[in-house]
Amino acid sequence: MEPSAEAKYAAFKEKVKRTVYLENLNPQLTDAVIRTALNQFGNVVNIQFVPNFGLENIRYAALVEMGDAKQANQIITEIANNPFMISGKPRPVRAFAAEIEMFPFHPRKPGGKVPWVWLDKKDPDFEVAQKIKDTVLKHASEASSLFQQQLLEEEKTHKRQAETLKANYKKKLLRHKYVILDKGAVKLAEHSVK
Amino acid sequence: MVEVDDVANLEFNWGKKRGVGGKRKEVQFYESFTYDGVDYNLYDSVYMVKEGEPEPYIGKLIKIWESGDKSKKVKVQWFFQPSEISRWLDDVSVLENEIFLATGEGVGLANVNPLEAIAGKCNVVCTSKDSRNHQPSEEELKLADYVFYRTFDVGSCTILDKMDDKVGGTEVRFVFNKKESEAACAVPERIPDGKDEKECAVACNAVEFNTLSTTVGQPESLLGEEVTASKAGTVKDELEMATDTKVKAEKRPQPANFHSDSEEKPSKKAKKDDVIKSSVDKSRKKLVERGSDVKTMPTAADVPAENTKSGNNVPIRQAKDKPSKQGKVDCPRKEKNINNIEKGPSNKEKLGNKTKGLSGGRPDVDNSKWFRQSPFEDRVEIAQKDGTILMLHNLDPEYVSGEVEDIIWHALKEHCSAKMVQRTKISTPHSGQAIVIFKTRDGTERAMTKLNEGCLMLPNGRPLVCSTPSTFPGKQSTFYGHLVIDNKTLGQREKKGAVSTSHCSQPNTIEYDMAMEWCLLQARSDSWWKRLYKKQGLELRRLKATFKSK
Repeated sequence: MEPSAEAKYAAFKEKVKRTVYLENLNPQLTDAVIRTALNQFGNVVNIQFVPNFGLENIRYAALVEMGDAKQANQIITEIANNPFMISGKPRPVRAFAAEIEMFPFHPRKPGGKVPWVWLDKKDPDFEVAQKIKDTVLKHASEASSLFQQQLLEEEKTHKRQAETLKANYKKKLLRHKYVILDKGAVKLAEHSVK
Repeated sequence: MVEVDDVANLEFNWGKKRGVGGKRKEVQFYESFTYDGVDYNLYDSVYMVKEGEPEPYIGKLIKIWESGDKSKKVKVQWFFQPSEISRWLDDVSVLENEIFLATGEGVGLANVNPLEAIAGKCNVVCTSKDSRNHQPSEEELKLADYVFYRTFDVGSCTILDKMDDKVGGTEVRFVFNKKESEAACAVPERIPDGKDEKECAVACNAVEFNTLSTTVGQPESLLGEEVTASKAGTVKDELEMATDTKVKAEKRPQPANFHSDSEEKPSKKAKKDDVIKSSVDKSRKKLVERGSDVKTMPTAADVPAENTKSGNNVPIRQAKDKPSKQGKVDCPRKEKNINNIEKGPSNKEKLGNKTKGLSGGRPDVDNSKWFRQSPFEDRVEIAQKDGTILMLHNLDPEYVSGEVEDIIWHALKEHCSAKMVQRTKISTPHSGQAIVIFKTRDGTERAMTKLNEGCLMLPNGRPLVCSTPSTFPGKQSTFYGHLVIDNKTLGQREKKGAVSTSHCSQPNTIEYDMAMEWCLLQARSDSWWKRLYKKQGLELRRLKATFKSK
């Protein structure tokens, strides 16, 4: 009594609905941390990290399967409304509904056969096809350069924030010192009076 | 005891003993008993009849004993029917035959009752999708009297979805579904009662790894004879380990090498036999050691799996490079090929031959994921150096890696292993990509020239495009956005807390401002990507429109 391909596909789709695609994760994040973090929203069933290869640098992301679709949606809306940070600040994580292509191994679409054809050079469509091929490659390089741009912007923001943070921290230290000093001065005064 | 029997007029026999208790050791705990011809085990679900109540209650036996005065008692943890807790169900949707297990502390969690109040066994199946739970088959679901996957906290009167390590004082593994062999021989916890239990215990270990229970006999025979050293104490540890590792195993990336080449199969088979022997030897010696348990148990379990041919093999994930697994996985994939590719009947036959040698597992695409994760990444690096790697573009995003390999095989006559690049938020929505590793550099070059010079058309006007990835981004690319304060003056506690927890930021902090900046940047980049892909989409559509034959 084995489920047919359609049933498996449907079951997988159902699983996809329950899964959250979590992005902008700290590269050193572990499974356990994510689990604890998301356990507040419900039952974390499974966590799969998205591996990092491909033309574009895939950001550190994970697919988190929850107990049911409601929990998954809850996470997505919560994270969209409030900046949620996991193991590192201040960059918040992003959560989206997962899509089936995000999974590394999903079942084939039922009824899928792949007919392929070698085009003949004399075929009029050959030219078009070649053009398409070139365009596709061009698009890929466009995408990767956009990605590089994005990285640059992120770096800028990161540096800027680091500066701000340092300044704020200095302020805090000064206040700290000042207060202690102040207290110290008072104590000395008391002491000398005695 | 005889008296009671006469009065009740129902047959009764005690089963396995468990331990003693009470001030004067007059209380004898048991693990199982037979009552009125039905076998009951600890943690079984039963019907309890109460005088005057028309409907029986459903409970879980969590303690069974006979006290000094020879009265038999059971402690029962209750299941609630939806009608019993309707007040707190509100807008929660409930299944037809769903019940809720009591958890928490307080009145209503559990009660002690005379054993004679038991009215029969109840088939309750746990449908919780928790990874620690053995998922029930469709048959089991049909046969179930009731299902449950949620608990009701009697203290807070709330429905809880997830289960911690203990539910109402009962360890969660006794809450989840028993594996068949466990049901048969009761969870051996402390004192073993002879060889049977040992064998059972070992079988339990093996089956714990979710090798579907079709041939429980096999693990026993294979391991029962050899494994003599198992002591009950260690068995208990193992079981715990088993559940622990099971949980861990599922999260860990699943390494195993994929070979699409048929020549390696005979050698794999030989290796399988060695594995069996070595695993059994290992299990004999190493049952006590924790660390190695992790390795040996799956190998032991591997064997029954190979023999049982459980298609739904979510399990047995841990061991790296287990040849038996490779053989098994290989076969399903090839079988798939036969099903799905139309052209080239001669190719079909070829594939058919390849699959002959192997135990025909049911092709199960879903579960091929457990053998593929990290090694592919390693292989990518190696392949880059060897020049056997290609990147394919313009695939239908819905394709699966297997389909890609089929296409390459049929169209280019090259063996390869492919992996579809997983979609992310910034991947192009118009097409999918795949990384393909060929067997030889020549093969790679041949494929590339063919693809570049000619046009391999896939459906929907998609000519296949390939490229050599010149650089693969390293695994440690810079991740921006996480700042750390080096604060020696601020308390240690604060520092630790800052990094390891997750939280939502409060609007009155600096952190919040920064987070908002990131959100803003994110929103901007999202819009860039959107525009880029829109433009690209238009370009592609225009080109495809010029296809004369379509």
